Amino acid sequence: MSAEHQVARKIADDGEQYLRLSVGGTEFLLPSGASIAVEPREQLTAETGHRYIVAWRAVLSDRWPVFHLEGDLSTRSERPWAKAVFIDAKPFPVGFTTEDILLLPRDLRVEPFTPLGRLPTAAGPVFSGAVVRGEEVQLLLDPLALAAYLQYLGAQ
Amino acid sequence: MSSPRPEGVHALIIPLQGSVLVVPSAMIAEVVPVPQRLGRIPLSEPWLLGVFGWRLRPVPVVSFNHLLGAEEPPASRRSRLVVFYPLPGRAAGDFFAVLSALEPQPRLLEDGQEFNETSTGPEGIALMTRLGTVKALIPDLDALMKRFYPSAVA
Repeated sequence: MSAEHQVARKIADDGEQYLRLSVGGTEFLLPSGASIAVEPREQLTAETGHRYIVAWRAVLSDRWPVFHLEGDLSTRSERPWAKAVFIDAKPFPVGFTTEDILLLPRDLRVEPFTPLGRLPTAAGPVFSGAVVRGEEVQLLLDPLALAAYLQYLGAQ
Repeated sequence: MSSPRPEGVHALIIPLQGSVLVVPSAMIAEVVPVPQRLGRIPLSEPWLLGVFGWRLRPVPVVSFNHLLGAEEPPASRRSRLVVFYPLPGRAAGDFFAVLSALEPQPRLLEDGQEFNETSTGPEGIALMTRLGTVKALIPDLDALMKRFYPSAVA
């Protein structure tokens, strides 16, 4: 067994589970442990005055932003969305929109995958793995890099 | 007594837009049809066309036309993906593919007979020359390493 496959098997053996998210019509994977909350749209406070933030989640005296994402991870606000997924970040968690979420079985085989070229965020590549089914590939989101990307948008 | 085998390099001629890429055949793992749908890679370089599954691995697809600053015409039924072995020093699974406008052709390049009018090429190209009447490009592997894996090379 190659070193890469050992890595892939180790990921699976560690018992990590993954969420399959439909984001702007494209399916991505996210380690389930990276999601600290999922909220239906109805439970969130809508935001209309920000370029990228479309809602907020009130948490005690704090509030967490929700960014609208398309399938190319751009922030055009065109497609209806149903839920927000929140991932941990400092100083506060950040969320993004999704149409659908499914918790996948544990036996998923995740291969290492890093896109070629320059890194899109200071936190590294937004994708850290992939699941291959025939010729089709679903990319695994890296929560730290995705949070950094969303925070960058929030600062615009 | 058998005649001596001609010396030279077994190459694959990969058709691009208005030119061909010339690479040693030993760099190529397989030539495959273009899948109906390439997976998109958001927030990636414009020359990274997407990703597809090959032998249970995710393989990124590179547009050499884009790398050279030209437009990449849409893939046709005659287009192919040329899967390259990992570049020297990379992990065993770091395959990548290049979009070819047509089926690539094997060719034996004999020493000193094929190339003429050589000149240095744009970034990513070690040598520009002519192969018959066609502009031929020989890739610069060090430059490709820098474009593909900038954080590893830096």
